[in-house]
Amino acid sequence: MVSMLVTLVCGVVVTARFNKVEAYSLLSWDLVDSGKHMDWDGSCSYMTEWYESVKVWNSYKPGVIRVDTIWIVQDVKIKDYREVSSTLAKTLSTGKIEFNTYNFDNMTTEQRQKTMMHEIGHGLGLGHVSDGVSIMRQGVISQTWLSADDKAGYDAAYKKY
Amino acid sequence: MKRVYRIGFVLFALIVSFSLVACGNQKLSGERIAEILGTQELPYDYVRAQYGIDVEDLRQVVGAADYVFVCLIKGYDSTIYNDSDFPNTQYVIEVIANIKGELRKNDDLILVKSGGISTKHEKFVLYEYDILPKISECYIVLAYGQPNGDILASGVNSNLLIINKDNYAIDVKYIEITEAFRNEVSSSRQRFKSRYDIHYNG
Repeated sequence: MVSMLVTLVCGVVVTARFNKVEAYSLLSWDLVDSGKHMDWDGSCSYMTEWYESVKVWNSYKPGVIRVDTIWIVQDVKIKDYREVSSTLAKTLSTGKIEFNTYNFDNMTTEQRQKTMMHEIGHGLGLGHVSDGVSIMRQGVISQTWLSADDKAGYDAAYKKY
Repeated sequence: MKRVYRIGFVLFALIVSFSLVACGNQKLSGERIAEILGTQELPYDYVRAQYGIDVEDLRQVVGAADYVFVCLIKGYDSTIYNDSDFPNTQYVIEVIANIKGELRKNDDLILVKSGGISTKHEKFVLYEYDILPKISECYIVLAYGQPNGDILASGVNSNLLIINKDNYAIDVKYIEITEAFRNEVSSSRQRFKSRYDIHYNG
């Protein structure tokens, strides 16, 4: 009986230990250039949230995301679009990040910032995650900070740039 | 005189170069696009999108949509880009049965579907996990009425293939969607009537 209990407890501990996987996924592409920078250009209706989103990512790895200048090649262009659909925003592998103002106009500042941080995450090479606390989750969510999983994903992506 | 020959040679070389570039970027015809829509003949470039609903939950997808209907995809009309790299494919469709909303039947309507052939016609650009409808197949379409009267099917689960074309009412997808409609999770938002809606009055 005691040995069965010990086996059971050990099994639970081992399972818990091996089930702890980092909850992030990487895309097969990113919008970061060979100099390890993502230089953005363009504009949208919610620039305050955009600048905040850039600031949060840069607070973890300073200087990666930069405003494009005439001296450097643009990696990402941001813009608005408007269509009636449940799509909040999208990121194209061609370097375009687009925000749907039909939905953005009805979201809170925090929800908009989460959505923008999420799209920047795609630009940095991060894919969607279905569970855990992550900026890379789907949905209208008020999260304005990076989780441990987001940082782990960014670390892994950074090695591939 | 030699100078004239030299200029002539340079001009000739430029014309040949431009012709080669133009041939390299040759666009596909509408018939060819119609033929390869929904096939694997060209590579797919999947766009990452965020949705305001859980697109895996059909009750939410039905609730968010303005129109849910069974239709036959009759043909390819065109691809529009709206000042973006992201294409929208316009299909000619015929509505067979309305599940939510009332669109005109026995008429050729234009359905706009998010995704399609890229500007250079070298790949298909589509939302992750989404599929493009194939010509001559039947689908349940979940679409949004647009301010300009268009109907737009956008994102994952916005078109579901009906396998049993001759008797759609017993198709698994039809049963799933009608069940989802009975239990729809409706979202509060500004909605627009399609110009194809039988109650449309401009």
